[in-house]
Amino acid sequence: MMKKSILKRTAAVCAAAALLTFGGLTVSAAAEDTTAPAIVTETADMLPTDNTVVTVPVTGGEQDDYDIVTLDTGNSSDKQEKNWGKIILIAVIISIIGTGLIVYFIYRGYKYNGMTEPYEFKNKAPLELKDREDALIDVHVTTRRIERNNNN
Amino acid sequence: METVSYKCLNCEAPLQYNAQKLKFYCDYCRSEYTEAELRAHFGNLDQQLNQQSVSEEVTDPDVPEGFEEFASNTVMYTCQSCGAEVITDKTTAATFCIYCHNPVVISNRLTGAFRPDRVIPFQIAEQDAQDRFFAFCKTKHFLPKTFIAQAELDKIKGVYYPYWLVDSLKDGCMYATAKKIRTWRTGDVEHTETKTFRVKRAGKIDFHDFPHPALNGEHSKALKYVNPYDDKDFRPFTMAYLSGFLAEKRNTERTDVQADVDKELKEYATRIYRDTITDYDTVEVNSVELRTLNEKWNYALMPVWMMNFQYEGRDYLYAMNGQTGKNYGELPLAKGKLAAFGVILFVALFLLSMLGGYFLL
Repeated sequence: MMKKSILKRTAAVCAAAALLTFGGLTVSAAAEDTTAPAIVTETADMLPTDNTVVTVPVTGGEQDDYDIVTLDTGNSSDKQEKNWGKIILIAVIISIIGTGLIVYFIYRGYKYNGMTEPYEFKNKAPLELKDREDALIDVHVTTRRIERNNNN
Repeated sequence: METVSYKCLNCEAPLQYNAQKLKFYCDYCRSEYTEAELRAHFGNLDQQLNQQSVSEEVTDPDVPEGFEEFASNTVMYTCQSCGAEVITDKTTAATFCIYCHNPVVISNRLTGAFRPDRVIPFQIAEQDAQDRFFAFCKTKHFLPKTFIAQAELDKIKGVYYPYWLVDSLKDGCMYATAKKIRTWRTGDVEHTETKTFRVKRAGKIDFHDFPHPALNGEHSKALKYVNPYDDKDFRPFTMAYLSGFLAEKRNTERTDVQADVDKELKEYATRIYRDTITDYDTVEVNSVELRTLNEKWNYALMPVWMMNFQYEGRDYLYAMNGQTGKNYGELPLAKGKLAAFGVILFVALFLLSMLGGYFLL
């Protein structure tokens, strides 16, 4: 009885920890997506070393026109607002799913308390095996080319 | 109607089976008796009763109009202690007189074809059952406060319920498709090899004491899940064990439940064969064939502590195995407590997710 209770609690803590880790990583990943700099990679060699201000040709614009763009250093207030919006949205979704799951399992625990195996078949129903056959009927191999990520 | 009331050999007061002492006990003079002592005194009362012709209960022939259904489902007996006429339902085999609380065994409900082969006497006394239930309730934080009040727990009653115990020797086989999957890499290419096997397992399975409730009705699910019982406490049936408890007689015949039992045994057989198929990544069972070589059905009475209670206008049933203490039943949920917990949990998860997102940024 005691062991079962400990196991249940350990499982609940593990599930919560996994959920939080997943939640944190998801939020983080989503935030990273939105912070990707909107600069074409071909212009990367034109960047100054201080990474503060750069002039790049605007795609689709006049050939001689140049815009001043502030490179992403993670301090832009505009980007921060955008990130927080997404972080909050994902945190809310994760909280709703997490709360819903935990509340559902509690509800089930009260509704069907003690619904465990009613017959100990491992002790009370011995098997006398007469025939055991494992015949290989098919082998097939599939191949897949792994795409390399050149960006990294 | 034949009734039996076991009296103390010393003071003639009603004698009851005491689950704590595992003896027959007199609450008045505190005398204790073993089953052998009682048998020596009363003779083999069970056998004597069994040899008598089993007359079906006869209800009052002058049934008033509109009471036919009530009359057909109830019978009347006379209490041997106070002489009162007491009505009970058709499946009750042991009960108490509602006037003098004298324990009564209705003997002709447990004779002939309705005589159980075996019985497991109560091993958990009422107080012990209540203590276990309290301890169990303390681990349940979402129970309503009123549920734990003593008044609710007074409704616990010890009942012997009827079960079919099936010994069945089956011969059969199972066919399955199993797969072994291996993956490896050479350079940029990933190879996946899938080997498919046709698997057959054949052999005899000897099912012992497979329990199936022999009482149809609302309690059958609870009776299923208070199992398993431990075989070590099985005794040959004697009515004396029922004294001081309630008991029900079976209301099903073997033919009524044969299909259910066969279906359940097939499911167990599938699991037993399946457990012998190891070292594969996936196993899909295709078919199971099973035939019965030998089958024996026993009828037994098993002890259950039953609790009926009401909460917010709903009836709840909770059952505890009278031998092992295993619980089964639906518990009332304090929805307010759960809602508050849900809100706190939501806020905590939200803050932790926000923190996770902020620091992992």
